[in-house]
Amino acid sequence: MSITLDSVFYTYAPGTPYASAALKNISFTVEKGEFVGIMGKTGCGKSTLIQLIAGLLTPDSGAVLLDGKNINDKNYDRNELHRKVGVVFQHPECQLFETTVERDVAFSLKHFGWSKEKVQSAVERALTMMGFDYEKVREKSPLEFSGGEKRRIAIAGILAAEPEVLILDEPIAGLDPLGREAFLVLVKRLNEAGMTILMISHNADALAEYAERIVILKDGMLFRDGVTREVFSDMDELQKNGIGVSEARQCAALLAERGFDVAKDTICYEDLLKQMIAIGRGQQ
Amino acid sequence: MNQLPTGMYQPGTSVVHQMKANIKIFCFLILTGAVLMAETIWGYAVLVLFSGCLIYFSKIGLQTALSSVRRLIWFLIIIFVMNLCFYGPENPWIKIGIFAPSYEGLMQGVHIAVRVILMMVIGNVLMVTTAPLVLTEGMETLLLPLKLFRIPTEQIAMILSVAMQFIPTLFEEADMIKKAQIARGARFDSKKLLDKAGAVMPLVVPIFLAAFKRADELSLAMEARGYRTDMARGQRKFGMPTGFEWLAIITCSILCILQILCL
Amino acid sequence: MQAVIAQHLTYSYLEKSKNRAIDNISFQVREGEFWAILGHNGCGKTTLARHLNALISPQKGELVVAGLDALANANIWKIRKACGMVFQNPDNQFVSSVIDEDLSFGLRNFGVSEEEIPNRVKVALEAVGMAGYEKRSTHFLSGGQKQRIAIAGVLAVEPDILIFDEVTSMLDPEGRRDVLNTMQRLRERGKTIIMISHYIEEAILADRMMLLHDGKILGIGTPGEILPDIELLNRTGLTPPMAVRAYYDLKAAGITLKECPLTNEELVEGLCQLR
Repeated sequence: MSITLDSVFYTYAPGTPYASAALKNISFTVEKGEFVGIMGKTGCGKSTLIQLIAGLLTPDSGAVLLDGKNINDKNYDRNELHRKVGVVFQHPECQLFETTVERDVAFSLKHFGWSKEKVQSAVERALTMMGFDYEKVREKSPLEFSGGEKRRIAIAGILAAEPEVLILDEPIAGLDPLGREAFLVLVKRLNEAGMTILMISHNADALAEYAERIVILKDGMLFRDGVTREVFSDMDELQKNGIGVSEARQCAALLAERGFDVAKDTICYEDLLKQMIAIGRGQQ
Repeated sequence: MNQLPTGMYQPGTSVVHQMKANIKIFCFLILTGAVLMAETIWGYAVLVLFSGCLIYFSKIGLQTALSSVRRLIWFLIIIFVMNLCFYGPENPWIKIGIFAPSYEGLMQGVHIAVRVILMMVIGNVLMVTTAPLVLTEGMETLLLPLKLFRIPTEQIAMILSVAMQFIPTLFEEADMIKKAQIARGARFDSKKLLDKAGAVMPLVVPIFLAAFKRADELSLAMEARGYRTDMARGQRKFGMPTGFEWLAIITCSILCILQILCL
Repeated sequence: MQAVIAQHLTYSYLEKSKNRAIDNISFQVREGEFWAILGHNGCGKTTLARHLNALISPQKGELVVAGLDALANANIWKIRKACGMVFQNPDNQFVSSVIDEDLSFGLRNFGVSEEEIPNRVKVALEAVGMAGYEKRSTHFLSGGQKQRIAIAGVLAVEPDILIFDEVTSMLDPEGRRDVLNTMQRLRERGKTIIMISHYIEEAILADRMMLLHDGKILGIGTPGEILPDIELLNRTGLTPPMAVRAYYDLKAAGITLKECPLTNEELVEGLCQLR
C-alpha cells in the first residue's frame, strides 16, 4: 500500500491566539514496505502529519492518497482505512479499557465480520508477538500490568488487525534500554515481513540503525527527505536546526576533526567500529 | 482538534484582563442579577449593548465570546421551541395535538433565549480573561463570609482552580484517546442508539483512568511542594480597586438597579 | 556534612509482603555532590526518591535528610522544604497555568511573606534561565521549558537538596539538553543533586552513581568505576555508553586504549594517543 501526500496544508485552531499553521505544502510518497523515520522538533507538525495519513484529521487543502485513492473522498471506505492503517499513538497504554486482555486486543477486530476462531487466533498471534503467554494473560485485566506491559498489550491490539501500514508516534520514549531494543527488533521484523512503517522518534540512534529513509519537518514544512545515510551525513546543518544525529555519526565527525579518514555517511555503530579498528591498526 | 475548548483562558493585556479577579467576579454577579431582572425590550437592549462593549474592551474577539453560544445552539433552540409551544396554552395561534404555539410562548422563548445567551457571553468573557488560579483566589475572597460557618473555603477554591487549570489538558487528552479508538475501528458517528451506547466505554474508561492518573501525580507533586490542608496558606491580597475597576463596579450596579427600577 | 544518610532502608507497598520495593539500601550523599541513580523501570528508584522527600516514611531502617531524622513526624515539612522534588511529567506538576502564580504556590505553602514572593520568583526564574516569564502561560512552553519552570517552582523555596525523578524522560533531545544544563548550573551553585534516570549518558555528568536492581543496590561508585563494568550494567538491565562498548570491541580486535573512555571525546582522544 503506497501513501502519497499531495501539497497538504493544515491549520490548527484558526482565528484564535493559539492559531498556527501546523503543516504547509507537504508532498511525499511512501512505497509499500518502506521503513521511514520522521523527525523534527516538538511542535513541528509531526503528530499532525500522521493524523492526516490515518484519516483522523482532514487537510485544509491538498490530498492524502492511499494506493492512489483520496481517503477524504465521500465514498472512500473508512473501515477499510482504519483496518489497513494501524496507529500507535504516544502512550498507547492510555487507550486500554476492556475488562480482559483478550477483549481489548480483539476490539479492533469486532467490525471485520471474522469468525470467532479467526479472531481468537489473531489475538493469540498478536499477543505472542508482543512477548506474552496468551493462555496466561487472556483472562487478566489489562490494568493489572506494569506500564511497559500495558504498552505492549495496547500495541498487540493494533497488530491484531494485521495492518498494512503501521504508524508509530514516539513508541520507545520512556522505555528502558532493554525494552527499547526489543521493541525496535520487533518493528524491524514486521517491516521485513512487508509492513510499511512510519515511525516518529527523537532517538536518532534508533532511526540510524533501523530506518532506511528519513523525513524531517521544520516549522510545518518538509525540511529533509532522503536515504538515512545521506540525510544524517549533513550533520552540521541538521544540528543547526535542532535535529540530533546518531551518536556514531557524531563520533565519526569528531574523528574527522582530528584528521582521521572517516566516511561521512557513517551512521551506525558497526560501520564506525570497522573504521576505528582500521584507524587503530594504522596507528600502531 | 480544530477548536479550542470553550472558555479556555487566553492571556492578554486588555483593561478587562487587568481587572482584579474578585472585582471581576463581583461585577459578574451583579450583571447576572441584572440579566435575571431584565423584563423589557429596553432592558435587554441596554444589556446587549453593554455586553458588546465588554467584548470590545476585552479584545477577545466576537468569535471567542460567542463560542459557548455556538456550542449550545441546539440546547437554545430546544428551549425556545418548548417555550413557544407549551408556555401559553390558553389562547394559541393554532393547536396541533399537544403543540400550542402562542404569542406569550414566543415572547417567553425569546426572553429565555436572550437571557441564556447574555449569561453565556458574560461568563465567557470572565473565563477567557482570567487565569484559573486567580479566578479561584478571587472566589476565595468572596467566599470568605462562609468561613463563619466553618466551611473550608480555601480547599474548595484550590480544588476548583486546579480542576479548571487541567481542563485544556484533559480536553487534549480526550481528543487523543478518541482518535486512537477511531484508528482502532471505534465508531462515534453511528446513528443507532445501541451503537452509541457501546461507543461510550472505549472513551469514558480511558479518559477517567487518565484523569485519575493525573490527579494522583498532581496531588503527589503538590504534597512535595509543601501543600497541606491543616494549615493556613499565605494569601494574595487583592488591594483596593483601581479607577477603572470602580467604574466597572458602578456601571454594573447602575445597570442592575436600572433593571429593577425602571426598565 | 552529609546531605543524606540512609541506613538499611527497606520498604514494601503491601506491608508484610516479601515483595520489597527497596531492600536494605544504605548510602551517604555528601553536601554539594551530584548523584545519579539508575535502573530499569520498576527497580525501586522512584520509591527511594520519595523517601528522600518524605513523601514516604521509612518502614525499616534509618534516614537522615539535611540533618533531619525522617522517622520523626514533626520533621516531614522541614524535610520537604530542605529537599525539593521535580517529577517526570511537567504537565502534572503545575497548579496554575500562569507561571508566577505557580511559582508562588510553594512559597505560600512554606509561609514566605507576600512582600518577598515576587523577588523569590524572579530569582528562581533567572536561575533556570527563564527570566521575564512571570506572566506567561505554561500552555505555550516547550517540554524543556515546562520542566525548567517546574524546577524553578521547587527552587524558589530555596532547598539545599534537589531530587529529579526521571525529569528528562518525556522530553525531546533539545529539552533534555536544556534541563541537564540547568542541573549543571545548580550544581555549580552548590546544591546537592540526586538525579534518577534510565539514560546512561546522563549519569556521566554525576560525581557518583548508584545502580539499583529489584530494590537492591548493585553498585555505587564514580562513573569511571561503574560504567566500564559491562557485566554489572547488563545485570542492572542497562546498556553501556557507546564509548565503553567501543573500548571492549577494539580490545577484542587487538587494539587496546590506555584507559576505558566514557564519552566519545575521550574515545577519540584514546585513538589519537595510540600514535
